[in-house]
This record gives sequence, structure tokens and C-alpha cells, in this order.
Amino acid sequence: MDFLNTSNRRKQEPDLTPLINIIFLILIFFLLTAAIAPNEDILIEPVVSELEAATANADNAVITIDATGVVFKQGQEIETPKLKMLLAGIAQVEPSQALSIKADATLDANALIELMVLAREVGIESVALMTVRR
Amino acid sequence: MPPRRYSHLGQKTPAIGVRINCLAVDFYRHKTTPRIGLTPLIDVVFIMLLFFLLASNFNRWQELPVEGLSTGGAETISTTIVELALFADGQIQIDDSVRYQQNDMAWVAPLLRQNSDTVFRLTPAEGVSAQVLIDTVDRLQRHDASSLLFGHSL
Repeated sequence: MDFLNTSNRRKQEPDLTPLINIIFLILIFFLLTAAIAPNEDILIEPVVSELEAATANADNAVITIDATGVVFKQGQEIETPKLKMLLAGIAQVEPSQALSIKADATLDANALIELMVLAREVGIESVALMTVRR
Repeated sequence: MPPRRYSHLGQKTPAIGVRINCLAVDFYRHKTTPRIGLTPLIDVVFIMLLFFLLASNFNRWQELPVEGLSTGGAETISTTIVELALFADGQIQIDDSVRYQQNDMAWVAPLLRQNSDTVFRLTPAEGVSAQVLIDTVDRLQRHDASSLLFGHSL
């Protein structure tokens, strides 16, 4: 009889190696596939599209328009009278810079089109609607 | 009696051994090889995993370029423009006449056969959401109607 048989005691401990393996695999999966979420201006329900389009360009100026038609840029609400000035500013600083619009899926389509027309009128050459692939 | 070997424990030769009435009581000093504690490692990995779980964004934003924006009638395009009125339920009315159901896109192909340069001006009625608009654009483009203008009714 071996009262001090520590090997038996050790055998009863759960083997953590498979657990660590799986956790490492999950970690590597997240490291490779995920993108760190940028600070969203405001939470919106994204417009979903089946069309395959270019991935969002990080250099573009991004404005967000919520379900009620309020426009935000970098978390700041842009009042309607200042909106044209803001868009004109974007066009002046970098005329070739595209404007990406994140619109709420429930936003009135006419408000969205009006915003895009306004951007074009002040001289922004390229306007894109940001969507999420279905 | 030769000293017992605990090779499975990585021990060296035991220092002391006593045997009493066939009961082997080992008072051996166990010089175990120091093992690296995995707990801090697992802690850190769990923290990293939690960080990525919470901070990750799987929404792959893409940019749908909007080429044709129309303010309603100022265009000097020589090609045929077909006016499409879009309603909140997804129905499409062509040139103020026939109204088609949301999923009925059979009207597109004959128009494009007549004139492949046909431009469609899509004007949403009041109450049409951005999602319905984009769904309609998706359907039109799937049926090769890629020349689109957007009008607005405000």
C-alpha cells in the first residue's frame, strides 16, 4: 500500500490541455476574422443589401442618419442649417474624398435621397450608401 | 532492497525508505520537478478572448456607390427614362400606369429588350423606408436594370 502515491492523486486532476487548445483556437479565430468595432456615432439598424459591393473605405468621410432623419458626424448631431456647411467643408478640404452615408433601415427613403442630392450639390463627387451584406 | 525509483514522477533516488510488516510506508522526500503554473496563462487567454468577443464587429460594411441622383426633370439624357414609383409595400408603378407586385419583375426584361440603354428613375413614395428602396435596387440590378436614377418626392 502506497499512502503517498501522489501519481494517483495527480491522475484525478482534470486535464486542462484540451480546454486550453480550444480556447487558443477560438482566440486565433477572433484575432484573424474580427475587426475591432470603431466607435459608432449612433446605433442604427443597418441597411441590408444582397449586392456585392466594395468594402467600406476607412478614408471616406462618414455621416450617419438615424431613423428620424437626424444627421450625426463623429457622434455629434448636425443641425439641419449646419448640414450644408458641413458637407461643403468636406467637399472643399478634399474634393475627391467620397462621402459614405450610414442610414437607418427604417429611415424615409426620400430623406436619404435628399441628403445624397445635397451632398452632390455642394460638390462631393462620390456618394456611397453603406450597407451590410445579407 | 534496492531503492524504489519513481521515474514517472521524475524523481531521483529516494533518500529514506522503511518497510514495516509488508506495509510499505514511503517517507521519501519527493523532489518533484517544478511545473509551470498554467493558471495565469489561462487567465490572460480568457481575458483576451472576452475582449475580442466584446469588441469585435462582424458587420462587414460595404459601400454601395450611388451614381444617379436626380432632382426631378433637370436631366438632358437622350435615352429613354422609365419612371418607377416605389410604394411602401414594395410595389412598383411604371410611368403612372401599371402597378406590379414586389416580386414581379417580369416587366424589366421586355423594356430592356426594346432599348438596352433604358434608364430607370426610381422615386419612392412617402413612407418608403431606406431598406425597401435598397431591396428594390437589388431586385432591379438582379434583372440587369443597372442604369438607375433616384428621384425624390419631397
